[in-house]
Amino acid sequence: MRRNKQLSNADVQTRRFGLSMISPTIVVLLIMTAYPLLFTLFYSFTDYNLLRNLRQPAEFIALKNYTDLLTDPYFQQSIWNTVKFTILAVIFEMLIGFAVALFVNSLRRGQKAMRTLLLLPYLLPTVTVALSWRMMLSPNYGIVNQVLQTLGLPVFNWFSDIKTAFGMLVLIDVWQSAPFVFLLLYAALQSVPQSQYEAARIDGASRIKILFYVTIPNIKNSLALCALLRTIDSFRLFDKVNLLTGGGPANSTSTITQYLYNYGISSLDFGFGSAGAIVMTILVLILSSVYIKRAIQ
Amino acid sequence: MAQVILKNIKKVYPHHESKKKKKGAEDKQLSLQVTDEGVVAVQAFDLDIQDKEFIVLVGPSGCGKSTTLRMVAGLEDISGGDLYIDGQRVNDVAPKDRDIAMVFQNYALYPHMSVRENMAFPLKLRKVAKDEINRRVEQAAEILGITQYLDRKPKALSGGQRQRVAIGRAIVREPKVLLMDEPLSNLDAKLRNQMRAELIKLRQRINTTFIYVTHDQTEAMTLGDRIVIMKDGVIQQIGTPQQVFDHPANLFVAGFIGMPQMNLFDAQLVCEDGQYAVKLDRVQVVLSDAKQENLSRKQVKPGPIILGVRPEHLQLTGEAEQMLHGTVEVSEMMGSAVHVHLHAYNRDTILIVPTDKPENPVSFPYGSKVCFTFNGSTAHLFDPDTQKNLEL
Repeated sequence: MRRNKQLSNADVQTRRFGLSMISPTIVVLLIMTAYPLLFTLFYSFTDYNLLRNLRQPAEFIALKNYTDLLTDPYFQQSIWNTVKFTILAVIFEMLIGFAVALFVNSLRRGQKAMRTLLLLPYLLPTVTVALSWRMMLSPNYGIVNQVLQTLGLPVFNWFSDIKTAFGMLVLIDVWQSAPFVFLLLYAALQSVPQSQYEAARIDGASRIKILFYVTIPNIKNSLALCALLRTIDSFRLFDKVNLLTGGGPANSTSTITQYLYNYGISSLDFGFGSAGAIVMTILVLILSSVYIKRAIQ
Repeated sequence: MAQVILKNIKKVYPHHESKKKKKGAEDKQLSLQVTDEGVVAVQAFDLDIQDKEFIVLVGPSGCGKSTTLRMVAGLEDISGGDLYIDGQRVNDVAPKDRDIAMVFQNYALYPHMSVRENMAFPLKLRKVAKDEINRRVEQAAEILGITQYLDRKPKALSGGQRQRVAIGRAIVREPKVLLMDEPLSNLDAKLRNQMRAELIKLRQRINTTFIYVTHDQTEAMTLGDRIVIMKDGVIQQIGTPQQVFDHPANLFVAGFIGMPQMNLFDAQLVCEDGQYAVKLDRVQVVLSDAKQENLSRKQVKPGPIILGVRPEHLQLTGEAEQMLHGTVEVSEMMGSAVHVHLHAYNRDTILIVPTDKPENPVSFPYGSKVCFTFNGSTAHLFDPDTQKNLEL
């Protein structure tokens, strides 16, 4: 008994020590994550607006912000734009990233050089990427239009034309983020044991069959993780839209975050913006729940 | 079930590829031949493997045994020479069309498939009927004693069970040639012994040609109909286990085959009145009639030689002037025998002293003097320059 008691005392001490060690992290997390989230949740039920008299406290208006938001056709279009953008960007990024990873992994020489070159777009800051593409696609002095003109092909005002603006945003995002997919899947491909490929070759599998029976099953977790990370990231798309189109033309490129920026942050209507942020958080949580559930298991 | 012929097979890794392999190669401290073409991993490999024969390629790490096997499998290109399986030249035939199966050291099972699916996979790819696939998988599972694991995934199996599944996947195809690349190396010593015995049984049940690669001479001796001993990409000797043990072609084979390895001494070959004898220190041992005949036939001249005597052939004697002697460094009690490590004539020497004879001591204190001798029929004589066996 005495021995058990001594052991349990030691256990308590160990636990205390552990708690004291992780407490700084918990404090930082509470300040940086929990507090802003609760703050946002609270203000989403109020009419907190900095354009009004600041001495007048924000009033509780229950779900009015949410009903306004969900019935606003601009918000509905933003949701649709975001979903459309996410689906297209993730599909193209995954396909291109995976194809390039397979190609580089199959190279006998120059893998390192290819890896570095292919990663460059991902290493650039988004602002640089956006501005570079804006210059290249500029209707006045952009190289793309000049080339098209020389070839006698029609030219476009790429970011102001409703037919092309959305497609250009997808293209730029794919250009910048496919290397991320490439890197993650390339690393996963490197970990597939060579002997499994060799066994499959001897067993009589063609290249396509090896891809479906050996490669993909071996890296399926990385594929799932990669698709999830890209989905969440694409869902939160803001910087490229804000820098290149501002949500236009005719709201055709407005994403949820751009909508929140326009109607919540720019107009200082923080109550309404907070409701939008909460809706977005819920959508992202639903998207990532599959992965979180798997991680917990 | 086929004859396999390797004619003057050669493997050269071009310089850019050999650089990639350098890291691994450095560990093994290879002394492979380097030419303008690249690093020569295997050269002048000639071997006729008979139908249903069990051939074992054995040698130290980096000797080219796995490379040779992989060339037979089609996983490595052949740089020179011809490879025939069942009379057909297969140098440029894809692995899947060679009708071979291979068992890998690390099993190479597909982790996402169950044992049944793993074993059925090669048959499924060959579009064999479902009923036939089931029949063959169950038959192979029964032979290997893994029927109860058919619906498990490989990760739920032990190393030995996984290796059985890998063997099962190879035998369901009923291939012409079954290749095995160090299949027991990842298992612990006890399981390795058990699996070795099972491989011998398996061999009796499935009549096919086996090519087996190992660095373990016990596996080579117990499994092979014939053994191919390799070093630095070159065949050193081909023969039955008994042949290579009794008549090693050179010093390398003499040292490699046999556990503990053969003792070597710098000695003199003398010929008096037409009788060959070995002289070491003050001891002169007349060679057996068979050895006399071999040496006479080859007209071997007297002179310095390297004398090899296996530890079990050194006999402990009482202390006497006319005996060989050494100082005890270590003695290891193995139960049925004591392995006595001596320092004798500037060489490390091992003497095996059986414990079942009452006259033999079982204790050999450090630093004590031990006298021993050997019989003329058990001496092996090697040329100190060419390192070749003088009798062959």
